[in-house]
Amino acid sequence: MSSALPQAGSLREFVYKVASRCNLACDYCYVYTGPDQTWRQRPRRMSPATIDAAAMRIGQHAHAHRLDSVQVALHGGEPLLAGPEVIERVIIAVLDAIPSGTRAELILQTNGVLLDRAFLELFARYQVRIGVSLDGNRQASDRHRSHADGRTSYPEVVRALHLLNSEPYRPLFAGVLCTIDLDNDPVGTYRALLEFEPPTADFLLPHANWSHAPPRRPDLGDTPYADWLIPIFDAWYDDPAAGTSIRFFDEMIQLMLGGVPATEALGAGVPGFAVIETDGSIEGADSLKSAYHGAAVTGLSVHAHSFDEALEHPMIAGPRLGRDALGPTCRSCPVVNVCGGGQFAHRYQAGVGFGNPSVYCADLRRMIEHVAGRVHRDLSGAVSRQPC
Amino acid sequence: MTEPAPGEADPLVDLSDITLERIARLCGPSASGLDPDDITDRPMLRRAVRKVQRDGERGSGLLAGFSSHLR
Repeated sequence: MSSALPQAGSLREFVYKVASRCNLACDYCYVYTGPDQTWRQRPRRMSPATIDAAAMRIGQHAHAHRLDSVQVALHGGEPLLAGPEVIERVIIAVLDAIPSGTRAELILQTNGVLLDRAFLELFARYQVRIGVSLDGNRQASDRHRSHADGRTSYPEVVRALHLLNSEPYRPLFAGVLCTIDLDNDPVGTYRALLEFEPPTADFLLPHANWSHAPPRRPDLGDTPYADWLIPIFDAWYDDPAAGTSIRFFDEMIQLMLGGVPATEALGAGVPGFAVIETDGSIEGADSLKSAYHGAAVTGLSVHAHSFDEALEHPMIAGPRLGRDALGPTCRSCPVVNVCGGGQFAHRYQAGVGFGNPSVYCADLRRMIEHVAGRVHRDLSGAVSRQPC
Repeated sequence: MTEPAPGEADPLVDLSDITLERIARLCGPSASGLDPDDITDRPMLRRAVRKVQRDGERGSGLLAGFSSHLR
């Protein structure tokens, strides 16, 4: 490996929780409605001292590991609640702290409600890319994504998406994140997302585990989430003009072809990220909050600890073990290179821990079988056409 | 690689059959030398081939990211 490549055991992605509250009251939110309630003790916004300490630690880590790039995600809660001054301070602090040979990729994930032209001007200045959470059409959105008083958020999100999709802001549009609800029509949901022409869309399995089962419907079979996703996959895969990347599907195909995992959702890879809470606490993946109260807590803080120290903590190191973190059922499974045992948080069972297969194991297996079958047929044709 | 008969349910394919390394062993000098346009006309499959080739060129050290935001 050349000295320009990152050393093994580094972090590449830093999630800044710039605000710990939200202006929506989505009933499925893993931060506020799940077992973890640590947000109640957090400052509402990240202080300047914490912003600067986190940036210093990122710069220190990038320097020590000779990272060619770091990704900094502005997240919450709803990150726009932090206000433009706090957000700009984070950006400037990170840009000032990283070594000259390190590139910063900046991204913000928002519910869209507060996204306006002033924020977009700020993001355009620093090339911050923006992801928006959207579950589909108005009916789909209104099932979960409401204000605390029950008002719909959908018209505000649509307004934000139209603004983001207009010039000169369109290049900042990263895409949309959709949490699956089995009550929504799958292809209708896919088409509703495509109306906004997102460069990327992703479908997220609702956070669940063996002690807190995923939402089910008695009229659906044993693999309702695969059965929901497969019609979308087929519509997407059969569309020669499909301009939108569907991250879950793209990643699944890449892993089948021998690629490396891109996110914690699939693949027995080594997640390379850490979360920085508004008080400076360094935590593991946000999704761990869906397992139990305090599951993501490490006891470390950017005010006192480096990210190298964080790498030693079980809740950051555990998911980093890749295949070694899996139980015997997963290790002997023929599709383990693709599903990787599923998302770490989805393997949890009270009293047992994270050694199970994913609670979505049957869905993942069914989905992989379907996608593999389609890819296999295409590649069989390719091989037969080649002068091998 | 064999195709299932028409109307036959897909058995679980051997996933090692569809890695780029395997395709390359059958058809080309190396996985990185395969031209995605020769393999498929599906844009998402071409994109996946290119991504896997890029990852192969960059070597290890690639790490999976947070899934609660887009890139």
